[in-house]
Amino acid sequence: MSDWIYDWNNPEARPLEWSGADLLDRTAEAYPEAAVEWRESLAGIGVRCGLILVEANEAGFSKVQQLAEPGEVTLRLALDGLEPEALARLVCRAARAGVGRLLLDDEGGHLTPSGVERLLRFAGEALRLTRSSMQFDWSGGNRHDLAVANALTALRCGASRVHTGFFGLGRAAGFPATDQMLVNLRLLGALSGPFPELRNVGETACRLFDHVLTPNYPVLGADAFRTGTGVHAAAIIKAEKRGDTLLADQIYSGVPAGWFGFHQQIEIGPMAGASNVIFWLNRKGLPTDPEYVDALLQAAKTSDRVLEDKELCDILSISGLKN
Amino acid sequence: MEKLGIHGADVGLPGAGPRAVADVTAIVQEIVTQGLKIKPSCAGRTLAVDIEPIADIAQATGKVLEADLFIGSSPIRQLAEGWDVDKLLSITDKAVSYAVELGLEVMYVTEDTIRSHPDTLRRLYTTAIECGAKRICLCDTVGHATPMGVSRLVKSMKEVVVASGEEVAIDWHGHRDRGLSVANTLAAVEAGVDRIHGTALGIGERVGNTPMEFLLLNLSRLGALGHPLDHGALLEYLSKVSQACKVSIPSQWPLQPKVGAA
Repeated sequence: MSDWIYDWNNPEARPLEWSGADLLDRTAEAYPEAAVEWRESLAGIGVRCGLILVEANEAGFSKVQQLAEPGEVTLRLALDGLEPEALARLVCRAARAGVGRLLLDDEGGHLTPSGVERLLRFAGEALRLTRSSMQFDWSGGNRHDLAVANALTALRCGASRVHTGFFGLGRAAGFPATDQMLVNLRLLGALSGPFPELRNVGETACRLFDHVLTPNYPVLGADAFRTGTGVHAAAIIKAEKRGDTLLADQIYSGVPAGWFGFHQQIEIGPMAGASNVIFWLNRKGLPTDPEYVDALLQAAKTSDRVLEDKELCDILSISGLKN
Repeated sequence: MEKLGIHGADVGLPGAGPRAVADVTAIVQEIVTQGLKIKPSCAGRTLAVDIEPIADIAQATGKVLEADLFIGSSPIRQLAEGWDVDKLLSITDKAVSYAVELGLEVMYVTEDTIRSHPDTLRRLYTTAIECGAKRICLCDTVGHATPMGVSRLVKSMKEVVVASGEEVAIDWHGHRDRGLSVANTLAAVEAGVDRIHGTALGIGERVGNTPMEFLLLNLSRLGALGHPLDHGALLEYLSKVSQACKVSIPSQWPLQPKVGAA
């Protein structure tokens, strides 16, 4: 990949500074009837669920003090409106109480990645002073479409685990999406290998949680690897002609479709060029003579949407070009 | 869009054919007729056959148009197309010069900027600026970028603009493939770009472009919008696009309870 791509994300190709990114999926908290099947489904992609969560308030701290194993508890600290002094005080108190993990939760989704970085660095300094082995968890709502970016920033800045929900589901404010976190961790090199199981888990999630995925949802949506644009299709086709499927997969997609059990799809619509049509004709085993190409391209150019296979076959039939 | 303070709109790619020319002409004419401040632009490849229809529409409507001329600049695109950098430079020189000669304002766009070599970008943008481009666009065409990558890229290309000695604006254009488009665009703003691109509901190629509504919401709450955000206009904008494009507003969209789905 590096020969074909200059990566501004990581120009010196440095290995990831942080490791051990752990995801804790909490989708089933909102769908308890599906919890067992969901846990089994997640096990197939190495994501865990289930935790002992206590709020970081007076009642929570009292409960922690009574526990024989406070190290097994995750204490949840709501970040909305929390002043820095209060944050430092609570970090220290949690560490002294012997809590294993402190969840920093931006449920309102108010922070930006820059804000997450400042907060984690500050909290990390407070924790260092306690010399405790307590670790930070991170989560946040998705009100401003920043939950995933914030979670990745949190991992880079000292959190070791992120609480997520598949498709962001699990609470009203949303979670960083488990699926998008896995995709990003794979792209960052924190996870290895192809990940075709993600597609099946996504289908299971839609069924179990009665969730309708929009076509433009990242990676798992129906349109994620579709293009009807002539320029894009032409480039993909040129890459495929070189016999290089990885090249074809990466040329117009930042996420290689094949890594997640998908493949690039080329459609015919108003923005198509001859390449789109020739590609479709080849796939169908039909001639690519000019009259075939012209018939389909003309129809596509006057359409206001991508044409389906049946419509394309009908056009050829009407033109007397196909039985 | 005017009420929301959106400054410009890419209204189509006339080079796609007669229907596209008709549609773009109608939109530009409407902007003229209504006296709207929104600035129309048209996309086009760095080819005369795409540039000429844009100039024709500008002539027909009497409206100065921005031509957003794009060319793939990454090594992966060069490999597939069989181009070398000298070929890219030659195409750029001819196309930008021609568009400027035809009276078009030019925004020069490198596709897949985020995966392109800095030296290639420096040479391409410098050539475009020398040929008269007044705006350059940095693109995450394939949705590969992270916020740190965007920040590095923008800061580096700002130096290219400064070195040119010309007054040239910088745009950022992103896509949603890995769910980072909004964060990337905010990073571009922090790094100093002049204009950012988005689409309503993130509609666009593959999983789409940066959702305009999230850009407006974030810039507003961060105090960076420059004017109060008209929430009624925002809901109307999303609603109209949802209906016209037959794209439902997702159930988790923050504005969903107040807006009907398509």
